[in-house]
Amino acid sequence: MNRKIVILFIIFLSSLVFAQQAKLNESAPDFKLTDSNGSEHSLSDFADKFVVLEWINYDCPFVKKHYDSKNMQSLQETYTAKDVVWLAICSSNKGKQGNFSFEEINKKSKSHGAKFTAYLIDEDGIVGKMYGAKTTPHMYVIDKNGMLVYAGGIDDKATTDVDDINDSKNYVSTALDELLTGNNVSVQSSTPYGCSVKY
Amino acid sequence: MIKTLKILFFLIIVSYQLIAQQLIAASAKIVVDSFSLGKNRVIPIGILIELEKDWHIYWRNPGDSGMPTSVEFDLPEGITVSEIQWAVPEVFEFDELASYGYEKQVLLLTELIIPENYQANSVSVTAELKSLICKDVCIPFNTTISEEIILINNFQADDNVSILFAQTRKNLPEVTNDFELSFTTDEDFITLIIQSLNLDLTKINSLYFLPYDNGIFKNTAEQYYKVKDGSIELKLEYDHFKTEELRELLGILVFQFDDTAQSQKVYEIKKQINTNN
Repeated sequence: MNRKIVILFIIFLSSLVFAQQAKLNESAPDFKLTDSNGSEHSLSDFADKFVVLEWINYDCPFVKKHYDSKNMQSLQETYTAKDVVWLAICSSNKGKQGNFSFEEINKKSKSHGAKFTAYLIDEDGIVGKMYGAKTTPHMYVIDKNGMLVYAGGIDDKATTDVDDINDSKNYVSTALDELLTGNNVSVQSSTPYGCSVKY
Repeated sequence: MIKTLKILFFLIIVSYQLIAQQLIAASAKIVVDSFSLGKNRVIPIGILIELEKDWHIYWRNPGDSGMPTSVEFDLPEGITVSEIQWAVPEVFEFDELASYGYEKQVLLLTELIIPENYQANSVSVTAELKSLICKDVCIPFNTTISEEIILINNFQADDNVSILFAQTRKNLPEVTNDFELSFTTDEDFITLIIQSLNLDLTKINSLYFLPYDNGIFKNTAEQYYKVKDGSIELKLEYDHFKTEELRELLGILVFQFDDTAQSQKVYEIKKQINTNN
């Protein structure tokens, strides 16, 4: 009898975990994370807004490509000015590359001139795994109804070369421009590229 | 002033460490196998990449992270180069992610095709390698390498080089007409049904498929197979963020017939997928 209860409980827990997996054109799973200033943010705080999730690791060469070139900051500035919420999320575990103290994060963000809404810390990787984040960067766009409408790479040039940015097709800005003009997102997924998320 | 000098010193140290790390972690050079120009006008060459312990470089499909290794050749007019032949990669599984690549060393094989009317007595080959190497961290490994190849009738490569070419050729996927492939598919899976004319598929120990294209299949997913009526059904799970509908199944099937490396057999497969079947 007890064994049956345990098995049923495991099945119940598994179904909860499964239900929490992010999928395109379904409600983006809610989460609550602390930012690099100690404030808590939930995805549900930003209902009725377009939201970008950017998986980040400041020491990854692919992230450096987009920050050293100011490409990422420029996107953040452009779209937060249009009332888009931009959340950078770091899922690097303790002791792994990209895991920094609040002070270090804020120092790095300031030196890069980052313009995101908040830098959220996901040290246990729960949110990263819930969204299936594989790489840094790995980008997600959520519409005003809370639906996940884009998941994938920032662009179509899977290199660390800054010179490739100008010739690339940026999927995130394309998706946001389409949403901001009342259209559907034309490319909803692409292959993410970058360093592995350091879970 | 002192603060500026400190920052400058710090930057120099960090840059030096990064450059040193890259130089130590990997090296690349062009190597040439034995050839006889009299028979045909083909010269087997390869890009030999050697990696320090624990570092790896990526296959044509890197898997969940990293980037595909690529090579661009700069050759004298008229000389062409064939497509790179990729040795069977290793699978690196970590943190619920999987990548495909090579540790220690890999030889990227290709061939130079020299036209009959090529007059010069040597060929200058330049290759631009773009890649990423990783262990717990990743660094770009981009380098340009060159080699001057003297065109003599019979060139004999060093034994070590010839052995390396022979080993790599042995580790290339075989192209075969031995298989009859069919499939069934639904929203989440494709089940590949494999029949072989020559292999006894009932005796396999393990089997997995590595796709050439990224973003369609879940790299980390366990690939289940079962033997049924002498054929094999291999179930592949789609990535739930898959980037496009599957039109052609293209990649390699890796069979293991017992626990030894010698029992591994690898075949390239290509199958048009018409989901209206």
